[in-house]
Amino acid sequence: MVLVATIAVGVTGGLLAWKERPEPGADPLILLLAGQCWWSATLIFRIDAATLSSKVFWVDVSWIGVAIIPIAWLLFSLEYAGYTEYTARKHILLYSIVPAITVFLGLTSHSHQLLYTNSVIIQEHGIATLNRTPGVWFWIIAGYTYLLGLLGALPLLKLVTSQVDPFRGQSLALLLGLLAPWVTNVLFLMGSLPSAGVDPTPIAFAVSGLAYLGALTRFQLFGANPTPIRHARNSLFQQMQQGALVLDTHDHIVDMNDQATTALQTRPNEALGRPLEQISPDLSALGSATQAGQTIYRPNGVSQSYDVSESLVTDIHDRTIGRVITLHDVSNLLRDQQRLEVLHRVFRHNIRTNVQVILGNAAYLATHNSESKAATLQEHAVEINELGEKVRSVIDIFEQSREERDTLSLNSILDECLDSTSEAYPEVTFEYASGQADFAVDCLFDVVCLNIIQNAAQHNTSPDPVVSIEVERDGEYVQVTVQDNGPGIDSNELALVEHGSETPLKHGSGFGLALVVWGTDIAGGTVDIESSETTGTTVILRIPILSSK
Amino acid sequence: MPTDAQNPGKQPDIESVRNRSLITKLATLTRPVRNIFLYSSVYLAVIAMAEAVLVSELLALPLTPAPIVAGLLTFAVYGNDRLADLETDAKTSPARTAFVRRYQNGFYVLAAIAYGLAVALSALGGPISFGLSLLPGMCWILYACDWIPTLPSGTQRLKEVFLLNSTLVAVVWALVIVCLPLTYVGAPASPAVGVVFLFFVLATFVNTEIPNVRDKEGDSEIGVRTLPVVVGVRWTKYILYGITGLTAVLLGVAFVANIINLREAVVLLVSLLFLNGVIFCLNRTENDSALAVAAECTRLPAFVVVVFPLLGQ
Repeated sequence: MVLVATIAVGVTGGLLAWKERPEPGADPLILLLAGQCWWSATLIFRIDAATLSSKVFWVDVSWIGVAIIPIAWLLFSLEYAGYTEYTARKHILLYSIVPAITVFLGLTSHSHQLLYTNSVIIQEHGIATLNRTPGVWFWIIAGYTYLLGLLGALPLLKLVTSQVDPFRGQSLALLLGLLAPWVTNVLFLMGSLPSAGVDPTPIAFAVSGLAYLGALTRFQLFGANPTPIRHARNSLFQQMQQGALVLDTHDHIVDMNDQATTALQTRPNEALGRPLEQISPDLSALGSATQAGQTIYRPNGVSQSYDVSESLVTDIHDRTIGRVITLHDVSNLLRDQQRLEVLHRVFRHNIRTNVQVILGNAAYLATHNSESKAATLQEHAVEINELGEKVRSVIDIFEQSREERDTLSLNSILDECLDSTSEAYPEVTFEYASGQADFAVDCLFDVVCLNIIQNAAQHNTSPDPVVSIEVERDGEYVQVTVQDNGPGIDSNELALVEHGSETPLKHGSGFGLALVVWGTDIAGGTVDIESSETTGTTVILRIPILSSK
Repeated sequence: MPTDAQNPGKQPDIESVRNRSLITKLATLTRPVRNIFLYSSVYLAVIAMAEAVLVSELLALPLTPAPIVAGLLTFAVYGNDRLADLETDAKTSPARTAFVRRYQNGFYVLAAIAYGLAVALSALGGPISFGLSLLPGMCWILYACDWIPTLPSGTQRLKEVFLLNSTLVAVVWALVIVCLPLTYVGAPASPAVGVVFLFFVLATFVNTEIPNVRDKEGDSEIGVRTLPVVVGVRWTKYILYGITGLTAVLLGVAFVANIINLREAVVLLVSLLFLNGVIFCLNRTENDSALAVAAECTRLPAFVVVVFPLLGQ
């Protein structure tokens, strides 16, 4: 009846596990329980069998179940505990070699003596039982089964001390499920059980089945399992936003994630195992500085900047065994900071200039009735107002840089810019052939193009002012060239284009150029300006094509 | 052999609740029991047990645990089938689906325990009995599940394959009902066993197609090809009449050839008569659900005819 109970519990547990597929461990558990049921069923048939040949037959076919159990146990344990890298198909094939040979030897045992050397029926207490003498392979598969049982138990032993209650309960239940047949089998092999020559291991599977059922129902075996823990630790390191390098006490790089590889412009196989000083002398030189706090690392040849911080790695004895250097990409932050500084400086400079002019003219107007001074005063007040508008546009661009932006047709952008500019500056001749192939571009180029064309018209002091616009495709980019015959741009203004920022001594007088440079940069384009006092200014804007219209 | 559970009866309207008679009060009190009996497939398990007893009596076999195994298997497999088809059954059997959905976790555990007990008990009947008990489970996986997810898309579940679906159900259940009692006692397969087996295959096939008449629209929507979906209700009835007629002829020939005796022939013909009555009512009554239950019960009169005299002995 115990064997019947074993089958009942095994099939029930298998069906409950079936419901949890494809949870990690569900398939091997089904296989494990199937193996146990098969072994139990064949034992029943063997006991019921009357002849020697039929008893031998049921022992031989029982090896199908017996051989499955250790592989299924190991796979279940590995999947459950998250060691899935050892459960690939090649591993399964490897684990299956000995069991497969065993099944083959079992099914062909009549023609060799590898599994059993002798089979006889003996009478014990009036019952006819089969007595078989183990052969060489019997001890091999027994040892192999014990080995896989032990290997499968190791990940579970680690979970016995888990901080998560269900995992402790699950792992204890599973270990109990392993130990019951294990101990029974050991006692049988040692001849310590009065089982009349019948291996009572399948009977102990009743305990295993109950333990697995308990793990399934009481401890939610597949409702909460530790599978992701190990993978999460790896993927956290690999997928963290920051670059991270692990150094040993000799400053050799022992691990690094993809972000760190990018920041150091290297490849893992080049960097791992080598001193940091060889891979990145600049970063290595930051060493002591990082211990004092944080510092900025700027790799050569790229525009990225990284905020570097360091933390020590210690073992359980509080000994320092290495350090982790994290690289946080702060390029955008620094760029924004720089832009704000420029914005602040130019804004303050222009306001102060305009206000001083206004104050001077207002003082003059207080004592003299001068129409020209009043006009100047008005002109500077208008400039302050325009400045405010420009600042608003710049801040608007900064805000848009953090959002997903729409696309606009380049033709319609240029048409609208030309319409509004030609209306404001009727004396300027515009040369532009519209109606060419159209391209979808970032909507930020609306304000960029408007400022380029307005600047070309506004500051053109030529007696016959001309602004020409050309559009040309260049691979994934479209190139917009705006050329004027004006006086050119002051070299101080061009510092913004050349360096992307201004120095304290060199700063632009207005925001038009800043809008063009920053807007283009944020939208992923580039600006080149060629300027001379004789030939005027040529602005070449390279704009990414988002899609052809 | 049972094939499917239905949604018999309607919920009482407000007026009838206000004016409860003794009978309606009784019906209200017993509704939970009735729901469990009908919707959880317990009634199918009871019918399966009755059929296994009927087979044992017809073939003059001693009573064994086979009827219990048949009942447990039926409960487990049909329970799982209902759980698997919760979404698709919602339209055709809303009350049953609601019941199964409400208790689905407990229902699955009960079905798993039932199957576990069935397999374990069958092991006592020997290896063939053990194999027979595994057969419905394996066939159900083939029948109702996308059991090999890596197969190319477009691969059908057997449940969706025309005629094969009903034939598979009929053959597997006939094997369980007829062969389990034999394997327990180790009786040989005689010509009489063949006749009874064929009877159960054909009758179960008819039973399977009867609820398909009610489910025609739903099956058609989800791509399950059944007789009513493919040939229409009218031709389905003709075909089912044809099968019951063929079965009657089989019984007649078997009787004339002295394979079965008069008592066995009459008992099985009584069952066929009831089955024909149900086919006759198809499309003539609005309560198709009750018809499907009636079809499942068409072997019960035969069971009563055979077993009642035994009780008096």
